[in-house]
Amino acid sequence: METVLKIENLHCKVQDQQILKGLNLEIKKGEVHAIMGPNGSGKSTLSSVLAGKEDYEITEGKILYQNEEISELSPEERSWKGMFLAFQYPIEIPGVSNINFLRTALNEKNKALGKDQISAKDFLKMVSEKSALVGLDNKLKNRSVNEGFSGGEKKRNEIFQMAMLEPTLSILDETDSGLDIDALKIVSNGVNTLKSKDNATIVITHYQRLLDYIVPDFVHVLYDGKIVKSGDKTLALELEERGYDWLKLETTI
Amino acid sequence: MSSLNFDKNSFSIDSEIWDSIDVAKLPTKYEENWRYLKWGKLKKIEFHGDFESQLTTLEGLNLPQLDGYIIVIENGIFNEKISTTLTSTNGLEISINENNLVSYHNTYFDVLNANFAIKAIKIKTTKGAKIEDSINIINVITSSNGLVNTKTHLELADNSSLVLNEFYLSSTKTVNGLTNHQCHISIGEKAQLEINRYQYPNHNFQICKDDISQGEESKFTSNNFSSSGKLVRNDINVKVQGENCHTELNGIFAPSENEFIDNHTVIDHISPNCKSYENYKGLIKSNGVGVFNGKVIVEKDAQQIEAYQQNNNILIHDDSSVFSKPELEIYADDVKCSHGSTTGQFDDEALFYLRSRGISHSAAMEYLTLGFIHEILNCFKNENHREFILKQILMN
Repeated sequence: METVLKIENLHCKVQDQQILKGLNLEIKKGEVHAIMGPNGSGKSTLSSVLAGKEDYEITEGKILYQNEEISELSPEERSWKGMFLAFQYPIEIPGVSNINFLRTALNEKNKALGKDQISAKDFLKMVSEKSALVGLDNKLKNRSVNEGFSGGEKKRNEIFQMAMLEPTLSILDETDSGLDIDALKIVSNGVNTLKSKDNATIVITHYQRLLDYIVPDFVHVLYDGKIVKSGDKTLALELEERGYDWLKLETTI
Repeated sequence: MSSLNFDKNSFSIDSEIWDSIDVAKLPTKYEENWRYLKWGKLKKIEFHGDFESQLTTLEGLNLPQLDGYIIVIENGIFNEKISTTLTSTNGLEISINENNLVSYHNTYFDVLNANFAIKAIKIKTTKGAKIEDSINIINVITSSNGLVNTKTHLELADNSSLVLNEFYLSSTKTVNGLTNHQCHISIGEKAQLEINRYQYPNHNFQICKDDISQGEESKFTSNNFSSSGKLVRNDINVKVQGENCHTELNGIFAPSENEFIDNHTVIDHISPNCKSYENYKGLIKSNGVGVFNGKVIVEKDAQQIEAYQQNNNILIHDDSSVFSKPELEIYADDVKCSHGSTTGQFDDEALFYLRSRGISHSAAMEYLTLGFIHEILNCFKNENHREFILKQILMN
């Protein structure tokens, strides 16, 4: 299978603090990778760096997305190329309707790719199909982006946006945080439905619980800015049982 | 020398009037209400008062689509050719009269206005008249270095209602003109007045003062949009005389490069059982400077007042600045009042969020701008005008 993302020896710092310290990861199309790790291990930094947040400085290493070095690309350029980050804390944008915003996003992407603008009719059809996928309430589509949404609604909205933008690589940052079990099922079901042999997903999470619903092909443990252990889904279960301390011990020795 | 310079021969007034003007002085930075104003740019100019009318059409002027009555005041003079015929039917009377209003000379600009504003626009409603067509006053300056003094007198009889849109602008090539406008407004019992004001004099100056008095159970709404202008100063003074009144002052001010926009408002609650809401948003670009100074006074016998005041500012660049001073003076003991002021920048996280969805940096900034002002923008009820405002803001 074709490689979507290859991270080589990635070092990255925020202000003066080194957060990632030589991270390696390879993801192929059709795969789901879970990245787990204790607080402060660098999980959120990894997702932000991949999406192109400007506060992060890459000091060493490479990020190859579909064989192209993307470290210098802006967040919007990465999005146009098919990357998507579902935020742990989706932002509220008052005064901007959810639908309007998505239409702009799609049209900017089409423009960047030299494609035609989507017609109003096709757009609305797409909206109704994709919102059904995550059971997003109709009225939320026309409300301001995430404004006054509950925690669960915000996460559903993230997956709805993901469905609309049809990314090749999706990064779900702590998508399970703040979700009750029903919302978790709906969100996971959305992610599973969107999964195909042409795309790949990175699921960043603290807990094994989410992985009952989104079953990963690989589980990686991020600790102190590096991936210290990789395995299949049974690794997640082991972590659930034993915590992270045994790994910390293993790596320091 | 703290006064303006004039080419005296170009003004057709008597020499003794010059005497009274010459002794008047510009307010100084030591006066609290004027402390942020710097007159340097104005003092360099020699103002003239000799105008002729140039406009034969409104085309070419930066205006939204206008419905209703149109009154064009060019360089302070009524331009009849491109205005709606003055009316005195259906409960509405619009006329241009000799300025015989009693003026209080508090400031330098009061003195200038009293002496130079020879005519005034008078707008009157009769009792119970609900005027459906809005009135648009287009106050345009087309003469560089011109000193224009204008005056409006608005009188709403009991139970009547009116919407007034005022546009303050300049023709493209006009620079360094000064428009000094004053407006006297009296709102009768149960009457309703809405004023939407659009100020964008570009490379010119504007001083604007409104004195409003509200009768019992009346409603007054002022929606103020100020973008562009070398120096813009607004004073809105509302005296809430009657009981059970509703007062609303909304504003967006957006100075950019080398521009200065100063808003001073006073809401004086004299009678009990009234509500007032004030909400101003400043969006300061480049090295622009904005000022918000809003004062709410609740007098001793004005019990059961609810007064809310809010000012939020966004500084777009490192060298943008804003001075915000929310003030409450409360002498009654049974009132609900609040005020607040914030100044900050656009949220980087929100910008990143939008961009991560494929929205370009510039479009994302537009969204954040819209997000910041939409609450005030929605106070402007005319959709064309809302689009116009957005266009002005995003253009600069």
